[in-house]
Amino acid sequence: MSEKIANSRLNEEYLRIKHPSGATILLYPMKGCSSTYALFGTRYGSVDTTFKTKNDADFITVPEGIAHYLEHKLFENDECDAFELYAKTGANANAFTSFDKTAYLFSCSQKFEENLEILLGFVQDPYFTAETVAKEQGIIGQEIRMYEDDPGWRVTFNCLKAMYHNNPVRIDIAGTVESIAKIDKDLLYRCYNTFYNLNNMVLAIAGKFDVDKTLEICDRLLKKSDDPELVTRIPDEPEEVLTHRTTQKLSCAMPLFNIGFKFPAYEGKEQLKKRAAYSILLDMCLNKGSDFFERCFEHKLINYNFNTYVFDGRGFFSVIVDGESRDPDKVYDEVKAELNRLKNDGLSEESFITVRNTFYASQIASFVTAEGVAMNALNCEMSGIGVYDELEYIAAITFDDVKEALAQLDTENSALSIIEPAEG
Amino acid sequence: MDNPINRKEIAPGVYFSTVNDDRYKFHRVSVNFYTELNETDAPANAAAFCILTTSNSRYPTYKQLKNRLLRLYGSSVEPHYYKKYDYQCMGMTAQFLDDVFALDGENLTELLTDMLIDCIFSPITENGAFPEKTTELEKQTVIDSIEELINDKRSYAISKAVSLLCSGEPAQYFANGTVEGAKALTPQKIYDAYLKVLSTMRCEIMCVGRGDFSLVEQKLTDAFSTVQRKPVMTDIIRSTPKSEPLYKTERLPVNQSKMVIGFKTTSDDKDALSLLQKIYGGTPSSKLFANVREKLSLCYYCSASYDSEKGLMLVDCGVENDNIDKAREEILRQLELIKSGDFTDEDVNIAKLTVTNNANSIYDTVRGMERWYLDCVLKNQIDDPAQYAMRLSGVTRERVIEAAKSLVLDTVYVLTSPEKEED
Repeated sequence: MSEKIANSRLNEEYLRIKHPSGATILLYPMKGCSSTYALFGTRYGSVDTTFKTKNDADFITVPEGIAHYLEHKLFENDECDAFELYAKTGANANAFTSFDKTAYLFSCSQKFEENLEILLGFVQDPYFTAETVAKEQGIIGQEIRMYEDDPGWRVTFNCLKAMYHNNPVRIDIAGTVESIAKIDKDLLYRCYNTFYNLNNMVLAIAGKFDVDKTLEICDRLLKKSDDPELVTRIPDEPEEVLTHRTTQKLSCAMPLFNIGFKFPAYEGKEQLKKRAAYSILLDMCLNKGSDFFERCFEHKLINYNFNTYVFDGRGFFSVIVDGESRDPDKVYDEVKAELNRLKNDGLSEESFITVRNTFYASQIASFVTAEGVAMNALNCEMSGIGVYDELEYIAAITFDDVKEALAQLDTENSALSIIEPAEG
Repeated sequence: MDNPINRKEIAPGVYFSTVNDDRYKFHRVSVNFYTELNETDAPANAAAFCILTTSNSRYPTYKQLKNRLLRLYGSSVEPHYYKKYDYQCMGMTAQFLDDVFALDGENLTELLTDMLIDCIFSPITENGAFPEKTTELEKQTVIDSIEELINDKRSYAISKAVSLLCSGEPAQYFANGTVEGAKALTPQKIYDAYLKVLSTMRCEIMCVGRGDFSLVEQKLTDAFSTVQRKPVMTDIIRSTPKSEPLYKTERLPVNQSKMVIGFKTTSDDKDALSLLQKIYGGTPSSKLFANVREKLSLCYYCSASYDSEKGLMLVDCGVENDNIDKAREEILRQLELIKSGDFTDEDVNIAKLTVTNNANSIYDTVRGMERWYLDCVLKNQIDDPAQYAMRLSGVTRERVIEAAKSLVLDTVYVLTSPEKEED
């Protein structure tokens, strides 16, 4: 089943195919592009630690960090690793695991079809032994250590830990040195067989490529999967934050902070609308160009490293204010006071139009490169929306939508995370 | 493919370059000034561009300026200040949507060019200097930028290693100088630095996007014609190897140690050295990735980078404290193996394919093209990315071996945790 989806604003179109194998395929050819970007992803991220299929009697809970571990190990088969295969074509290959997805990718300017065969081949052909699994402990252990020293990373995870009681989003994507020590080949196979069935997977390709040849490769290489009727379970999560303040000391120049406002999780178009409304709202109220930013900057309370964003995915939604300050507690108070003041005094419509225009432009920007388009396509499909939905929603969003978002924002359901400079 | 860059001198020492391609949806116009990096002037030069992008005579406050840019579909005029080879580079870049996407039909190219020119040539002044209040705030921005280097341990370790490698050369300094230097800045000092930048520094203007930049050229030519230019051009110094390698350890409270191993070369075969970098530590099938990471599981990252103008090859990695010696030995051993010819023709082909693939991808973004051609003009060798890849494809295995043999160990820098005190 194939449908062509077009957008007149961009004068572009793509194909969305529900392939007989079970996979969803998104093909987005781009005129004048020199390179191609392909992503093969599964709806399997670090939050998916508890699950069952029709073959399981009950839910199983696996060690934290296993989705990421699996991503590392899938690159190897019994003869070589996928990097060696890609090396022969010159492609840049990589993979990533996020909270709610894992994806394998390559970008290339030549030998696209060969690269696609490599991608579809190794992702569908797991090979784990006790030795190869053990070998990865050292490498991932060093990856975890690297992030332990990264104040920007820590400040965010500590904020998530402060906001969430039970949701696994509070745990580092790579897990901990202790949790990954519990991972063995049998657990990896179990997770692989559960989450890497094609009904749970999306292939997104953008840039320079031939659609017919691509589909021929997909027909040949995508192995039909039986639908295992996968159910994942995210533990019940109270609406309130766990704690309002958390601190850690690390080697850094000045304190870093994250302020997180917690919301219930949303899905599909509702999630898209909330994301657009809160992104615009927070930018209007707090970011560069606002009265708040001007005042706090002039009092040297914050600097240009100040940003607001929506942090959302499958099973979680929050709004984060990220920055550096010599007095993060004061910033926290100021942020809450400003949002409450605007609730009473009202927002400026002129400011709304200004910020909406910037978000509109950043949506256009996401259609500039093959990488941006392929990534966008994968994310949208996995969130249950179309590739152009966000662009069109932002072009049409109203001032009332943003006012309503502010009215629903509870400034007290929030947490402050601080990284303080360690001595030494 | 024809070389897509057009470059001309529009004022003494001011070069205007354009790269046109219909594939882009955004434009970038950057104005880049270059001077030999020195610790004394660096903070003032950086602060000048921080101040210039906060306001101008038409938009006298940061809030007004920022809101105007946001209204123009999130356009930006941002300062930059960084080190490249022996140069301090500072300036500002306007990025904006192509006119065709403007919802109300605005001429964004003209509006953003005017904004850029107003920021550079019509700053707000008080008594012949920058305003006191703005100076105080932007001084802090420069101080923060220097102090923040420590936040990213990998970049910090590389910066410290380069300072040691290039001791006695302009590249030894940090891009924005020292905190003490930044603290001593005054409105007058920064304003004087600004006037010196405008009148003496080499300037490269780079426009990348689709369509016609002739209006941009005309407006910038007119703007620079109001300045008395006496440009001072300086060359990059090829770094010379130390007589004995330097070993330096710095201690900070970290969980993971960082090691940077710096080599120097006096070889002029830059193409072979570029290819060597790929074979040694530039791809996931390189010697360092395959052995230090995959075979020995010592690191998550261990890679090589090459600075063709200074003649430096750096290897950097993050490693457990107890494994520092083991990792260093393996990194050095892998280079010895390449010197002895212990690599395959396939390794060379893989490196060439990677170079070609990366080069072709540069064409796809305005940022990629801007960076590529700015680097070309600094190196005084203008190749388009495809020509560069073609040249490297002619490098032989023998040349790679000779390039490896030319590397001399110069500096080993380690950032690690404090020694545990004995009970």
